[in-house]
Order: sequence, then structure tokens, then C-alpha cells
Amino acid sequence: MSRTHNLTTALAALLLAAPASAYDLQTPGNDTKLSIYGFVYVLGQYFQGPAQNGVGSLQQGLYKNVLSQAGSPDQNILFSVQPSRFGVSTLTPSTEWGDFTTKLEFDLNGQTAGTAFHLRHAVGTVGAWTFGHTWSNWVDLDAGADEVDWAGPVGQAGWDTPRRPQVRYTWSLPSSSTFALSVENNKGLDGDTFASGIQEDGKIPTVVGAYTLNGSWGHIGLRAIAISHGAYVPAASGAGSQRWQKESYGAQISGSAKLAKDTLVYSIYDGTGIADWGYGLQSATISNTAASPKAINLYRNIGWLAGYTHVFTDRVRGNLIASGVNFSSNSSISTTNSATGTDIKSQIDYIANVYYTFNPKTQLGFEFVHEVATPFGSGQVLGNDGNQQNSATENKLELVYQAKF
Amino acid sequence: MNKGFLNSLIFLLAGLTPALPAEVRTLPAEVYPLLKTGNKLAKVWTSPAWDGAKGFSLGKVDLAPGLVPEFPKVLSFFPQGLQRLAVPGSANVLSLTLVDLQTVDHGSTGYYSAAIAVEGRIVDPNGALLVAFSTRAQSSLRESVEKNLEADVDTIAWSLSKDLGKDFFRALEARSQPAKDSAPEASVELNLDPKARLLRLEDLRQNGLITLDEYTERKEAIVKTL
Repeated sequence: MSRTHNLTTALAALLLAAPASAYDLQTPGNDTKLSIYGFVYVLGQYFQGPAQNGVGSLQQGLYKNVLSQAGSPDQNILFSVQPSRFGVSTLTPSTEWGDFTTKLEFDLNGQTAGTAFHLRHAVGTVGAWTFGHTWSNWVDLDAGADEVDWAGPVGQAGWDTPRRPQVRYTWSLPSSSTFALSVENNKGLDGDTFASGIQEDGKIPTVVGAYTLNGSWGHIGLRAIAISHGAYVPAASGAGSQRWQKESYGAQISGSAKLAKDTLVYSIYDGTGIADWGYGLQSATISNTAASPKAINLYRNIGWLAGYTHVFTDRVRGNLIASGVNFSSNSSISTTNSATGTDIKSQIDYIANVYYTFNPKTQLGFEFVHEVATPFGSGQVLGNDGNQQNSATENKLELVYQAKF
Repeated sequence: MNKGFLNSLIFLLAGLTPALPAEVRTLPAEVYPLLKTGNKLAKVWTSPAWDGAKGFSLGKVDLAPGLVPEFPKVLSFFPQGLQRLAVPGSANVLSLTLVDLQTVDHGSTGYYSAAIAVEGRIVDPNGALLVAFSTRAQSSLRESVEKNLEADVDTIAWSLSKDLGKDFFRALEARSQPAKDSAPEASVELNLDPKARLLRLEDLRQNGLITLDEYTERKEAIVKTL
């Protein structure tokens, strides 16, 4: 009874003390503000292209599995609410330590896609420290493209995918610049493909350094990443356990430039064995044979992006985006006559979109995407007409309705 | 990747650089050479006459000429964010100018970011400059542009508290201690009589520590409990 009464009183107290937003609760006496937030994101997509092979399978994230299903038709209409999300956050100001913040956020991209929760953020900050699962320090989302498709453009470093448990500290430097250093979990996440009998041995976390120079003109970011790839073979009869490892590195330049109300964003990265901090495919293969003992083969990919946002009116804005990714040839790549998600040499996306904003919480977006993919060597892809060709193209029309709460 | 394309991209970016606007300056010109890198503030200068123990009261917060923020509400965050540093009635007055505001609102990733840059000064009753500073804050972990702006203001308040000297910080700690002691649990203010809460609210408004909108809203909430 007493506990119920206390809880009821506390809840009533919180509600009575609610400040401006209906979804913000403030606890008087200790300054902590709790917010409940999220949005509904409904994405409709019509695509036309060689769905069973080629381009679609290179598209990151949500749709690549759908598009790469063998035997699926070459035209499809999909609807999805998977990007929708729900979150709770708190903020406690402190003059001694800086803000204490927490954030717990989910989307609907769980194992039962479209209906199951999937963790996006579980993170807390204290002043300049960040602890928890959130975007990698490697990702410069301020230089990100304003795209309708949740899967993101190819070639933008990691899009928003590499969210990692991490510890990060950010230094404020002169001339409005910052340097952030993070150590991030990479076990199970570094994109390594292991030969039979070999286990991952991820003892050393990924290290990322990010320097950012800010100004009213925009920003420039320089990033470097070091990833350790480790392998382990348990003891077997006649042989003791074996461990071996190899480091890989990547670098990125990114930024934005303000041009009146418009914005130019750009990024380019070059990395070897950087998994989905880069593109996520063809990262590394690990094997252990008599001919090639304790082998860790790391593969390189380079991604780039340029996007321009034009603000037409207070309600209407549009984007032109071009991006691409190139994979270096490597021993894991098949050059047979069938392109798959693991043997495409390059892909370029051309994107145009326009958004209409009804109010600050609701917008409608319409997008056209043209993608061209080229396989390695003499490999060819299956075209719409059923014939083999040197490159594959795919066109997509996408519509999104987003309403925040 | 094609090297020609890379070269073109680099030249394009380099070509844009001369077109970038110059940084806005609102402090007296003679102060800029005196500014030094702060502990948390980007740049700060304190006069020998500055007495941190006396603190400051909140003055005007305005926009740099020509700056039209996408979120006009940003100015209302400052009184709220800075009130815990202020000494109501102090003869020294802090005024701030917002010189830059940058935001990113990406629907598809749910990524929101906000950066603000301010220049500030504390002057004595005769108008003599005691403290001058410029700094920038950026937040991107919160769930909306507005929430990130709010966090930016908190960061600036925190940075200021760390750069105004030990006397200032000691006095600040001493002022906040009674409040902490009297509010061990969340229910303290709620246990106050609604009339006492109204008086306290009136006091906050008269000292400029909350905006009129905030005052009206909180007053309505309390009146409902009467």
C-alpha cells in the first residue's frame, strides 16, 4: 500500500511538474529531465533491376537480403516500418562534471524484421566522456547525406551502422576544434570470415581517433581507425592451442560547407579490413593450412560520397547525392560468371530527392535512386532481359512518411 | 577509385574555401589578442579586477548581426541553462551574443546535431570589462535539434564555471549546497505548499531566471493543484 502510494505520488508529482513538452518529465529538486521520444517511419519502395543477382545485394542494411533472394522477381514493391523508433533519454546538468545524459533507443529492425525491437543506443555521457553502445567515433554523421532510404548510400563510411559499445573522451582544442579518442568493441563485429575450426579471438578493441575543425562555414573531419583481427584454434590431439592476429587500418576525410542556406557534404575513406566501419563486405578471411599457416588476408575498399542540399522554401528542400565504393581484387573473390554480394568490384549510386515538411514533426519525402554495379574480372551479371551483361543497373523510387512524437 | 576523380574532388573543396564567411566578432577589438585558451572555454580573458566570489547576474542574450537562427527558441535556453551560475542581484552582469548556430536533422538515421558558438562578457556596474570569452559547443547524442541545443547551453554553462576561477567555483558550490541538502529526494518541491511554490516561481521570474512562457506554464500547473 505504502509503496503503491509512494509510486502514485511520485508519478503525479512528475506529471504536475512537466515543463513545455508533453513528453518531458522533470523531477524538481534534482534537475533531471526525462524525455520519451521517437518517430513513425513508413517507407515505400518500388525497384526495378536484377533482383536475384548484383546490385541489390550490395545495398547496405535492411534491403540487401530481400533484394538478393534468388528467384525473386525483378520488380517489386515493398513497404516497411522498420526504421520507426522509440527511445527514452535523461539529462542532468551539473556545473561540476558537465551534463550527465543517458539514452536508450530501439528501432524495429529486430530478428523478426518489422515487428521486433532492435537496440540502437544504450549510452551515457558525463561531460566529455561517453560510455556505452552508440555510433562509432569513426562515423561523421554531420557529413552524412540527407537520404530517404534507410539503407543509406553506398560509400558513405558506415552510414549509421557501426554502433559499438565503447568508451570515448573528447578534448576541446583551440580554434573550435575537437579531438575524440575511443576504444570500441570489435569482437564478432570486425567482418572476419573464418575457415572451419578457427574461432575469433578478439582481445584488442578497435581504436578510433577523430579530429574535427568547426566553424560557421561548416566543418572538416579527419579520422583514423586501427582494428585488430585475432584468431584462435583450440588445443587438439597432438597440438596445443594457437593464437595469431594482425592489425588493419583506415583513414577518412569528411566535412560540410555552408553555402547560404544550402549545404555541401562530402566524405572519402580508404581502409583495409575495416569491416562495416567501411563497407562491411569482403573485409578479411582467416585460414590456417599447411601451405599457408596462420593466414589473415585483409581486403581493401574505398568509399566516397558527395551530397548537396538545397533549401527551396521553409517547407521544401531537396538533395542531389552521388556516392560509390570500390573493392580491391583479392583471393576471396570469385570471378565466375555470377556476381554476388561478395564479388562486386564497384558500385555507384546517383540519388535525387525532395522533402516536404508539414510541421516540425512531420515530413514526406520522395526519392529516385539509380545504381550501377560492376563485377570483377570477366564476371557478368544477369540483366532485366535475362542476358548476361558487364554491369547491372537498378532504379528505385522511394516514398517516406515520417512523424515524430 | 579513379585518381582523376579524387583530384577533382579535392580541387572543388579547396576552391570553396575562399568563399567561406569570416567568423563573426562582437567583443571589443582590443580584447581578441588577450584571449587565451581556457580550461574548458575555447578562449577566455579575465581582468585582474574580476572577483569570482561576487559572481554575476544574467544580462542580455542576443544574436549577432545578420544571424537568423532556424530555432528562435534557442535564446530562451540561455537563462535556464545559466541560472545555476548566476547570483541574482550581483552588480556584475554577464551578457552573451550568439554568433553561430549549425544544425543537422536527418530523418532516415534519426541523427540530430546542433552546434552553437557564443561570445560573452562580464562587466562591472561602470561598464568596465571583467571577463571576455568565446566558445563553441556541439551535441549530437540527443533526440532532436532542440534537445541538442539545450545540451549545448548546459555545456557552455559548465565550461564557464570551470574558467571563472577558484573563488567563483567555491562560491557556486556553496550556493548550490543548501539546495542539494534541502532536496535529497525528488519530492521536495512537490511537498511544498502550492502557494509557497507560486512565491518561489514569482521570485524566479523577477530575477530573470525563467522565461515568461515558462513562468506562465509552470504557474498554470501549480494553480491546478490549488
